[in-house]
Amino acid sequence: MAYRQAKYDEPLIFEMGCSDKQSVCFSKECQDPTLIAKFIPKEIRKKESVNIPGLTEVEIARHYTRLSQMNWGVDSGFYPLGSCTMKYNPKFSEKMASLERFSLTHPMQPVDMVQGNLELIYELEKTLSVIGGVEAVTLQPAAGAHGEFTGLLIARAFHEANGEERGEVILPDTAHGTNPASGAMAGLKVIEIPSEEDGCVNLEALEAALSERTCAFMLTNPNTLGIFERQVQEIAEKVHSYGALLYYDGANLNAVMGKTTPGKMGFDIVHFNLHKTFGTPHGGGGPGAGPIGVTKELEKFLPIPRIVKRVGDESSVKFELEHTQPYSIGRIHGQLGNFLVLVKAYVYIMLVGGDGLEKVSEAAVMNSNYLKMKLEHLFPLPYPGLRKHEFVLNGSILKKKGASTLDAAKWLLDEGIHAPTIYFPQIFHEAIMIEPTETETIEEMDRFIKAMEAIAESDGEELRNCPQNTARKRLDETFAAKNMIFTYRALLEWREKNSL
Amino acid sequence: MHFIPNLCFRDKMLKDMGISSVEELFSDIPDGVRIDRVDLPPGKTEMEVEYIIKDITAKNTALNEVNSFLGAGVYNHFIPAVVDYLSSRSEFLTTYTPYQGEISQGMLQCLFEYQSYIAELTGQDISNSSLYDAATAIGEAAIMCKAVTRKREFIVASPLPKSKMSVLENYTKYQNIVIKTVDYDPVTGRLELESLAGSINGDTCGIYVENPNYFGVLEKDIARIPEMLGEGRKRPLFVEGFNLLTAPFVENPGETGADVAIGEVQFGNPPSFGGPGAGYIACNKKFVRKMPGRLIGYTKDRDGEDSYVMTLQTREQHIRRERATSNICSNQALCAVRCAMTLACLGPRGLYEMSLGNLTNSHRLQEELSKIHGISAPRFKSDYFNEFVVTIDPDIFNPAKLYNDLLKMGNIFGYPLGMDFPELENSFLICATELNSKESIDKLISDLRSVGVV
Repeated sequence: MAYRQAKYDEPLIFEMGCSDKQSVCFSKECQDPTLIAKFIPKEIRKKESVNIPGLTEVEIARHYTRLSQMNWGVDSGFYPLGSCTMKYNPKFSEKMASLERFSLTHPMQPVDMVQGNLELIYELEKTLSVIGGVEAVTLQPAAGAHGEFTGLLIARAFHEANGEERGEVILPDTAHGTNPASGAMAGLKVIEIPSEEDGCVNLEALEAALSERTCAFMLTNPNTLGIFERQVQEIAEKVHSYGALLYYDGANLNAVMGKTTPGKMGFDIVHFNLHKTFGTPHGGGGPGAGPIGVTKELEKFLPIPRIVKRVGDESSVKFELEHTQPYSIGRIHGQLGNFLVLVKAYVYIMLVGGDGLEKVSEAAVMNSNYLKMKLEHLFPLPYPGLRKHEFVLNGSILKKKGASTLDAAKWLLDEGIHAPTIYFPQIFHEAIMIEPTETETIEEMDRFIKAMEAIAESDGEELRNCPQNTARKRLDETFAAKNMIFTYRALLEWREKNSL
Repeated sequence: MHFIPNLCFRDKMLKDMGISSVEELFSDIPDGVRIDRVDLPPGKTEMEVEYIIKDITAKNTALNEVNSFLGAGVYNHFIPAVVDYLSSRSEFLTTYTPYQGEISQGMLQCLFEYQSYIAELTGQDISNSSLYDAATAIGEAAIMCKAVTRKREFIVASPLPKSKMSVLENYTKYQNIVIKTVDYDPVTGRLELESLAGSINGDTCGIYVENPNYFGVLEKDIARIPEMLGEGRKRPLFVEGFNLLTAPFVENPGETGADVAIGEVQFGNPPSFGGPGAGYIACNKKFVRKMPGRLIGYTKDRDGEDSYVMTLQTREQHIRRERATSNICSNQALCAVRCAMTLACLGPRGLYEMSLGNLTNSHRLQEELSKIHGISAPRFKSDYFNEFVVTIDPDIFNPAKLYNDLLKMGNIFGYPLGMDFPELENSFLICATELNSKESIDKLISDLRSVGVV
């Protein structure tokens, strides 16, 4: 399949329209301009008008439609972006979340008016507790990293309640970048331990790093190489023997549903990425949702408000928001989190069901091992063996022809395939991290295999010249970093300075 | 299983792999941690799920089914239909962070345009491409202030609800940042300039002031803050929480002399029970390297064509790990795009009209309320934008009963402030946006007149 992405010389919206146009008007009845002089204090009254473009609806519709055609989503085709679980997002979830009785509800409405919302939150918490093998869940964090931060705040609060000041967090060198960054946000000293020769946690290094200063050990299982940490029970035992907590980065949960749970593996704190595992769309970077699940012991530290279910006379049910929890870490989001994302995830889980979630993991792992088996003779697979939902190849062999993993990624774009995650994990150079997910067809995966074969056979120059078929050719990242043009206004200034 | 296309090829794929069963693929999971199944009900059809969801939504009342005067940080604004339509195009909806710029120019340009809108409305040099919400944006701003000045006291000089304050405390708690607060003037509801000046010292890293503040009050003296901060690289930063909707009438944070501007994007995202919306953060370009989150920059491609790309990623967690400016990875990009799309629909005239609609409706409401004996509206003797505090004289009305009586008649009489501000017992934060038409206001007033006096 030859791929050609649409290519427009679409101007910036600021270069379009004129100040007189508008595609939305408001009732004249609600427009009293005399109020401006009367009620806006003169000290801070705006003197100039706001400098944004005015456009009619047709111009706006075309602008964004053209831009959308210069973009790639899961609905466009294969998107094997490792660690991100770019699975198909059911349209039905979108339809349900767009119901006005969800989208037009306000977080400060009296609880009697939003019993449906509270019920959904309550039920989703219970559902995730089952999937994660944990006692209790909060849905407040807005993203995975936000969940990690929340989890570490809970861990710190737990130790503090025990009269302990534990200022260190340990993580393997294969950890997602958010793990050490979240550790730093929680004021913890980050200790990275090297992996074992099989790509898994080095128990000796872990033992050496653990102490009474350890707040938590953060791990994702399967790890970022897609390898299941078989020694997870020993890891849990060791971590707990030092009084530390074991934290589960849920980015890779799509691999093991129905086979194990983080709780069963001995994790104390778990985050879920609803935008990965539970099919809510990634939206160009967000919104996602990063709920946290914890053991019974840690439940009292969860953020407020907690949603509680009260069963009254004649088994009438009422949900309430409980704000008074003396041990709670408090709030982590101004409101209750990314509620509409929660609706989509809840709908997804109901559609797929408990049996379906297991099939999801089975198919994700089957697809990943199928691709691995077909590709490992082309590109070396560090740490051979079985994989879970993703695997990482080494692109270093491209160096021989003067090309790199980055060039291979750009070749794939030309084929109408989104590139895998590249240069992560950082424990070896030129990593190519591939996660097909359960929703990819065998036809597309076979096409991907052919493309990878072609990359292996191609000459270096061809690779370095990619991409050719996308809306833009290779981008100059140095130019962007050097000139630092982040706005239309800055662009105008730059053009003027360079007489363009 | 509608979403697993390869189930029917399972045997072929397993055979290719030389494996006899799917179970073999999980043989690396030790028996000790195995479970039999996910203990949840089996999958349902769309029709079945739709019944369940409709059953749930039947227990909700939407804001368009009730006469609501709720704001308090989450505002119900008009959203053009074209925004829903365009933002749900699946090339936008189902994409992720634009790591591969050449195939993601659409999202990159959308976010560059969003950054341009935010910079324009706030009068700042740069904006990132979104944070989770306004509350976390204050936290990120405080961290920035400390990183820039290497000092550790962050002064909050505006009244904040407990929720926002709690988020800020969590973001700063382990960053060795101390939060100090300055009380508002109990008569005007505004910032007390003298107390603020008195609280600034050599260890102050930043000052946070909202305009309008949580009570809706416009801070007429806000532009005097910069002169309190002194000069030099180590002076405290001035962080302004700015309501973008006031931009046509109120000086923006660039004009008031703020170094950093934060807030909710407001435009294009329905209240959604509090999320998803998006927080914005904009600042002077000299602080760019301390900025959290994704930044989209202009560049050229190999043919010299105008292009956009994620840049300065060395600030971010996936490169810098524990030394990153923030841990944020997934953000609220699609909400940011919806904000930009809405601003595109409004244009300068639509924005002016929308903003004026808020000013007009809120003042019409306040004027009517002030005529009712026993209601003090506005409580604070200050100008306000689209929200104001109302205090009920408990000798004339029982405030809780008043609220509930109005609720029974289909009105939400704002947000009771007593829980967050004990000194404002018997007070309500009342908001009227462009959606609270004359009919909406007339209904509230007529219902108010019909409820009984104590």
